[in-house]
Amino acid sequence: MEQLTPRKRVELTIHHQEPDRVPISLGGSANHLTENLYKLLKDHFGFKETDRRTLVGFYSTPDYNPLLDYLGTDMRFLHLRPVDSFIMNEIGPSFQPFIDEWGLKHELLSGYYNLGGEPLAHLERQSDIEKYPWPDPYKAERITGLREEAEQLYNFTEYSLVGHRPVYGNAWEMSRFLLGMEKTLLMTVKEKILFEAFFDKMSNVLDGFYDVFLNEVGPFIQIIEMAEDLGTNNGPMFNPKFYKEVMWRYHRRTIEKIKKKAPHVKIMLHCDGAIRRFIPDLIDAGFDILNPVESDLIGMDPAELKRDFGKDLVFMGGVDVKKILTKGNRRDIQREIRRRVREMGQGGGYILAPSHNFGNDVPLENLLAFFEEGKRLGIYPIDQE
Amino acid sequence: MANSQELIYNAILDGEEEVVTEHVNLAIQQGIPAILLLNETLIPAMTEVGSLFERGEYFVPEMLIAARAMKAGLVILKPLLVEAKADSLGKVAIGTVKGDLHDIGKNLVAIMLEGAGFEVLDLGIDVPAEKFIQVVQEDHVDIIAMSALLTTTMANIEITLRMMREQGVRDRVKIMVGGAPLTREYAESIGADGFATDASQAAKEAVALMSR
Repeated sequence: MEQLTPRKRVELTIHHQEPDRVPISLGGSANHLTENLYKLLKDHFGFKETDRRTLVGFYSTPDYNPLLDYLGTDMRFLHLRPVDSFIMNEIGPSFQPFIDEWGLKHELLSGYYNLGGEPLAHLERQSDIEKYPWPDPYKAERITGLREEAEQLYNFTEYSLVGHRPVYGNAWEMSRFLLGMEKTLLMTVKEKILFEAFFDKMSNVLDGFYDVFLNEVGPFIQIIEMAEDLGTNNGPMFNPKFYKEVMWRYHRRTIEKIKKKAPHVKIMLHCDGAIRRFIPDLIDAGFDILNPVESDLIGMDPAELKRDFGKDLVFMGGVDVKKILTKGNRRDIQREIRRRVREMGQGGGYILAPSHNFGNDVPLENLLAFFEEGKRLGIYPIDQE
Repeated sequence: MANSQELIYNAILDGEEEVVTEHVNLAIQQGIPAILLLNETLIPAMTEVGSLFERGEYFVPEMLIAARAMKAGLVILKPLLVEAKADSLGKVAIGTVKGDLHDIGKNLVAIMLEGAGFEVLDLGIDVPAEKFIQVVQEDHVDIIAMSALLTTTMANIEITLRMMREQGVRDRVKIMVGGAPLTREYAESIGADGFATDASQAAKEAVALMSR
């Protein structure tokens, strides 16, 4: 096949058809770089960093677009803007702690960006849920220059455009931030009714962020992101039955609202951990793309996931970071990419990406090798060996 | 009509804290010895909770409420056990390392260890190496259990071990480690004696360490 534009390549992929080669991506809710790795890459390629920082979840990174041009990845991301009170901190000595519009505390702990404060840790009554000073998604500053940026990228480039999740995380994530991890987990077994009322409200508030975001970027994007961490390294964080009985319908409601507003857009879910047991219900909720596919965890073998769910899901990720990208050499990386492409690339429906975020212990040459080899080794048709 | 011990056992499995409290008190009043309740009811209940977790039928929330329920029973039994001079399996000091605030897993391990029959000294979170060393020197512990949930704080496990060696106290205790970014290979490479992937495994590992 002749070389396709990134947009066409991703279009075919997300519709379960084989393009010219497997798309490859850096950025978005799928993965990002540490400040350190970004600087190493910037120095390597020799481009000038803009002052611009983008909101990614609950923190910020430098604008990746110049870097992505050098790496040759297929997707470019559109980001909702922060509100004026949000400090776009760099992770480093200049970090300024602050409390945000949700009542959450942003601080640096051992070099790790921590979101704390648990402002709703003492929630006891449903009536308290409505009383909480929820942020207003429709604040005008969230969309400054957003439509222009989307139009510019859409009309003057051929990249696949992706809406970065316009929220810190979706309703499960936000519940954990606001209520605290332990309380949230306990509520799933001891206070199910209160949990559901909270999750319902949380989803509705977050839906406003998607609404305002899609108003500006909807016509231009192919994919929009959601993020919920449902798994630990060993298995589901809570009983998958609970997801099915309670949480599922609110995810579905969110997705239905998104698809009503932008019917062409595919929904990507970033969900860490050994989450296989949730997958049938995630498909029922309407998720189209699953990331990051932590291939070394139980139940997350890419070949099995493709076999069992490849009809319904596009997979994004799977290239092992912990061992191969951190400790391997170029040959190991080639082998790993070939393997994942073979396991998940048949019939389209696969996007090359790492199984986790790149950590500071990933050597620069391995990072570069991933993107170089990824473009080289994903060409269709795929060797079955 | 189910006897007290059955009711306590099931209430632990179901995470019914108040039922546990009620029936442990009742059982004591009925003259059932505390050591019996510990060994025949509480410990088997937590062992079953651990099995259910390993089998993928219980998850972190179920373990949390079961552990709390068991702890409610233990709180009543402890003074009676001390009175009866019941032997513990050993003493474990547990903590999350310096710079790390994660504690749900560590708390679960602490309760599972108590449930297994250990005396547990919970040092909390953000525990510097110096504190672990002080505990070795002053508190007659058999095992030090360290937890780290971040790749950045994992290094503090290694640092603590190194300082223990430098200060000549390493050989006085067994060291076990755990936490999401850790692997058995890592634990072995830094010279830890034991490693576990979850609270249920941790209790088993601690028991195994005592017999080495």
